[in-house]
Amino acid sequence: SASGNNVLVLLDNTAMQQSYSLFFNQLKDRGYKLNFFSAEDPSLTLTEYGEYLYDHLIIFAPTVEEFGGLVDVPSILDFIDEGHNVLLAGDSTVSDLSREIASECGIEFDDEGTYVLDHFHSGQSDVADHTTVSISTSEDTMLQEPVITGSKRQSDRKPVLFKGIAHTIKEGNGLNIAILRGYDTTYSSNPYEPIKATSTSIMGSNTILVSALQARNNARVVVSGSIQMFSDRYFTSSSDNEYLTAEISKWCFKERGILRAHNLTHHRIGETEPPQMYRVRDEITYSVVIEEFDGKQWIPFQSHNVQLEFTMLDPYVRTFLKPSTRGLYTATFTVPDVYGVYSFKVNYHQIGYSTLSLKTIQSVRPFRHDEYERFIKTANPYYTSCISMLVGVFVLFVFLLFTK
Amino acid sequence: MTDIRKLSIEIYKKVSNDYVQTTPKKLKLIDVYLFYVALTGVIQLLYAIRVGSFPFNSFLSGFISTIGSFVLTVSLRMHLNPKNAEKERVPYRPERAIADWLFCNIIFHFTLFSFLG
Repeated sequence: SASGNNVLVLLDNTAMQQSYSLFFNQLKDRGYKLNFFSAEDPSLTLTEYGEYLYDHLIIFAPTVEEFGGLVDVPSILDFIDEGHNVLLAGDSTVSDLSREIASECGIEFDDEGTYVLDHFHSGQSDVADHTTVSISTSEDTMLQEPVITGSKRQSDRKPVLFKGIAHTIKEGNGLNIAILRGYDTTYSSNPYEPIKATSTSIMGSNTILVSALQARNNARVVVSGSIQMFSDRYFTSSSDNEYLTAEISKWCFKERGILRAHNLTHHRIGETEPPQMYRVRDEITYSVVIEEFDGKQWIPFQSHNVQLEFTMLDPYVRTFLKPSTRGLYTATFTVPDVYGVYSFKVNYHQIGYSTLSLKTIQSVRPFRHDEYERFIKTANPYYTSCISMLVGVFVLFVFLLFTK
Repeated sequence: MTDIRKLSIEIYKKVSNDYVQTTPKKLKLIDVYLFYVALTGVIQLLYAIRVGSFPFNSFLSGFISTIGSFVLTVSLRMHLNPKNAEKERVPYRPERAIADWLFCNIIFHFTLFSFLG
């Protein structure tokens, strides 16, 4: 991972290490060091001497009312504020503790005791109560971003099994991303109580099953409403759970979708060093190398929609940066006619990728006196008018002297 | 309607005849010069409106040269008009007036040339 390999895993009970062994083993195979603890262990702590002991946090403890030791909701939120990632799984019996953590991330779970139900797409289960939902991952139900959900083709994917609680997010706020959602026929309600008109407001495609938050500091929080989605039983029952959870965890723990930029240069065309101040109407080029992390190393990033803004209160110039195979992005433009203090701004937000924010400040000066043309052609009438006035004055003077 | 038209034509004819006959030659000369200055000013203004006033300092310089010359020459005409002497409205001092007018024009154009750019 791009940000460290220490993972703290909080479990309801230590027997879960066996029932979720396939998921944990594939994390270990990717190089993570997993530290398993029971969620109520009194020796729990995230930090030691002011430094974080872990880089990522997995909370597979939906029923725990209070974490043990020094871990609690504020400390987990600080953990996220420092840029670390959290994978949280809930259940129909999700406790207030997990609810609070999720709601601080913009995710609202449904009431306790409710399940995600879908009478048209139920998966195999021991009890025929339709609480196990089988979602085939198409455009309607799964986010089509290979950065988050993997690049396996739609035709190769099997349905995903899910049994748990629904949640809602405010889509369109730029930070919350819905990864897996229900069909139009999906809804959330308590299956053991009669349905009333006010039973639920979560239905259809608004039933979110798995969602994520990429915070402004690029910390990633993935919340799934079903902890059983990660269980060995579901992995082995002819479903795509193993692949999807692996891909989502790769994104969550910053193995994918991480960008960095370096080698930012800008200069006049034909030179190599930038002057202290650019001049109005100079031709300048701006170049930056953008790389992304692919799990093991940094490779050049390829995208056609990275934009550069040359801004002084308002963007005077906004162009696309042209990519090259080595990840070098360049743009060439003419400095506008207005002088002042500008900044080169690159703000790149793409779903699933960390935000890229580059800002360089640069002054632009007006023409010096010797950089103008000495006589401006458009001003010829004014020049002639002045001269002709003076000439006329002298001519009139002569005439006035010599007429009676 | 036609009465007003006839009346205005009559007035125009009387004024122009009186002008041509009663004004001295010097004043007519100055009047021609004034017309020339006004024409230059109007031409410049139209040019600036059409093409834009890009070197604004040059536009101001050229335009104000016409306006200033116009004003100075009008005051010269007032000083040179013998009728004003009779009515004692403006003192009739021809030599001093011409000298003043020339001097003012030179200083005025000196400033304008430095602003012309």
